[in-house]
Amino acid sequence: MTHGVSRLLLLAMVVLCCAALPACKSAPKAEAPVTTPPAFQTPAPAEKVDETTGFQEAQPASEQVRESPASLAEKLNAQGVLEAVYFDFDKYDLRSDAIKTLGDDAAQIRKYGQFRVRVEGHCDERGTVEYNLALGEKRARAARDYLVSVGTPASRLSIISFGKERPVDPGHTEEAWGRNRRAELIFLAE
Amino acid sequence: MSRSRMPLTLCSFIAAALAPLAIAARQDAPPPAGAAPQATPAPGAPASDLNIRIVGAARQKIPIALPEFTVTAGDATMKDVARTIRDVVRDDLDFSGSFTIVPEEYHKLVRDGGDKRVNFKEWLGVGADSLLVGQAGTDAAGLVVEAKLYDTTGQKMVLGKRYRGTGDQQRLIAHRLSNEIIQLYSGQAGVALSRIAFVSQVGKAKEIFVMDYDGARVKRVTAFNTISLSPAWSPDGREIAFTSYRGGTPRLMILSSAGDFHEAAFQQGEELNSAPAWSPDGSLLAFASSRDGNAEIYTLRPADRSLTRVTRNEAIDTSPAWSPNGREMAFTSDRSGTPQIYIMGSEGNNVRRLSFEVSYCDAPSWSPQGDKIAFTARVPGGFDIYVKDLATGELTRVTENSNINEWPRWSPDGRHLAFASNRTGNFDIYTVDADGSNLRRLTHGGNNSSPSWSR
Repeated sequence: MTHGVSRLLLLAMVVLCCAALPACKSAPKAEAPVTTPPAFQTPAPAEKVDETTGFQEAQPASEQVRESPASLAEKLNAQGVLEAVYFDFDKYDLRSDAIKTLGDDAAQIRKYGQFRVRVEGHCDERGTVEYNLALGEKRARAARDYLVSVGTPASRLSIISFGKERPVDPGHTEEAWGRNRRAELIFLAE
Repeated sequence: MSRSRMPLTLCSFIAAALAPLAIAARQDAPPPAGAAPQATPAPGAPASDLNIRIVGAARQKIPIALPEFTVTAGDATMKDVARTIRDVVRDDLDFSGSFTIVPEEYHKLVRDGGDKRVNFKEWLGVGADSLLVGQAGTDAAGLVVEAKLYDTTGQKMVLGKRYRGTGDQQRLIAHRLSNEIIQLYSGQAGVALSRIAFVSQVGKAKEIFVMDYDGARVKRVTAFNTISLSPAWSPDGREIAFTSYRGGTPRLMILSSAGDFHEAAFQQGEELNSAPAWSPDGSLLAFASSRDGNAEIYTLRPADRSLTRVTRNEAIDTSPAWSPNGREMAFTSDRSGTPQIYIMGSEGNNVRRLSFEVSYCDAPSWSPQGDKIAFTARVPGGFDIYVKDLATGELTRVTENSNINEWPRWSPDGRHLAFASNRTGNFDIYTVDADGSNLRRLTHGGNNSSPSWSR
């Protein structure tokens, strides 16, 4: 539809411009091998070039204030108290090793009952951004659902997917991909 | 581009005159002078008095010569400005697929026709069925560019244009001129003024950038210092929808050309909201959301903030891509066990699977003509771009190089695809014709992905 409109506009501009150019008035004689082309003195009202849809240059955000001092939650996260679980390529069902790990994680979550826990789903670099976002969320949800099934209150758990945006290993090998296909569990400080 | 058809000497004038008779101008008068555009031409009506048009697969390329633009007035930089404009027009015409460019070394074989005369026969003799002559200069008001397009077989001017602009609009002026020429010869709107939005890594963040379709004039348009993904142009080119983690969770945002931004107009919480795609008339924004617990496709009507759920399946459904008439969508789903491309009515009816040939297919893009769907497929060693013809079912492999080639997006004229590839080691944005020819790299360095081609 817009395509048609812009085509009409273009047509109109061609017609308008040619109409305004005296250059067009005298058609060169067909038989003349060398004709006198019209000179460049074009009195036509020139087309104003205006970039109406130009996007504004963005200014970098000012430096953010650093987050609060390390809390217990951050310490626990840094120590890896909650272990990540890993997935096969393009899969979001829990492997047996993941189920064992999540059992240990559930105990830790019980122990530190003052914190909420966020389950983050991640993918390897293969496949496109959007599919991996959905896949990462499926992984986070699978881990969250298992924790709930073994007694973790759902109200303490949230999920988020980072797709393939936050690899722990920047490599392009099977080993790197295997480390990146994961669900991480994070104690939330607040 | 094949240059083998070009005659090497003036002696081949006759052969040249006969062989590439791609255009034959009628001998009647050019458009009536002084006549205001009275009746609006019907869409699809010829844009010029050229009586042979470039259509379909058998389309013949027009050999065109573009001698350097002359400088009328201005300071020392005008020579560069004039050259830039000529070069941009030449590259636009070459890219369009409708023209072959007469090599520059043939220009000097053409003798000057005398004061302000065009030596039509000799231009024709070096193979130029068409000739663009231009000049650039400045006056008190700024940059002035004039150009005349000659049909050398008919020995007449077929287009005369005059543009005014500021000094930094030289590329814009060149692209406008290119589109006029492309429209005149092909009857199709050119893509020279279109732009490509994409994602680029800045430090640890990913930001949205915009550039001209040829990779020039790159501009960063977000500075959120977080993850921004999946830009999608609105059909009028005034808005870009994308996914942002700015609020902590992935939400749909709308960035306007004026620089302001807001969340898409529906209640967004902790769930995943991603993969925006505007309907062709701009009235609906399709996207993938897990707001009901699983990645499904929805449409939002921003005008009344109404939200409609389109898919109902416990598998992943994402990456909606509208058909040009807005009645259908292609999308990615793993309901068969691996991601595949499906098509459905825009209300979720009549779902059928499109891709069967490869076990992993993703990221569909529906051609503006409606006849093809491009997508990414996983192949041994990487991912490649494929195009499926909807009428014949024929599958064309567009890329083939043991790397990741993903995220194809059609140009407005349906001839080209933008995509991301890591074939050099880093991800960059490329364009390629739908048959795999005419590959061009648009970005150089960094980590660039997810192109969206404006209409």
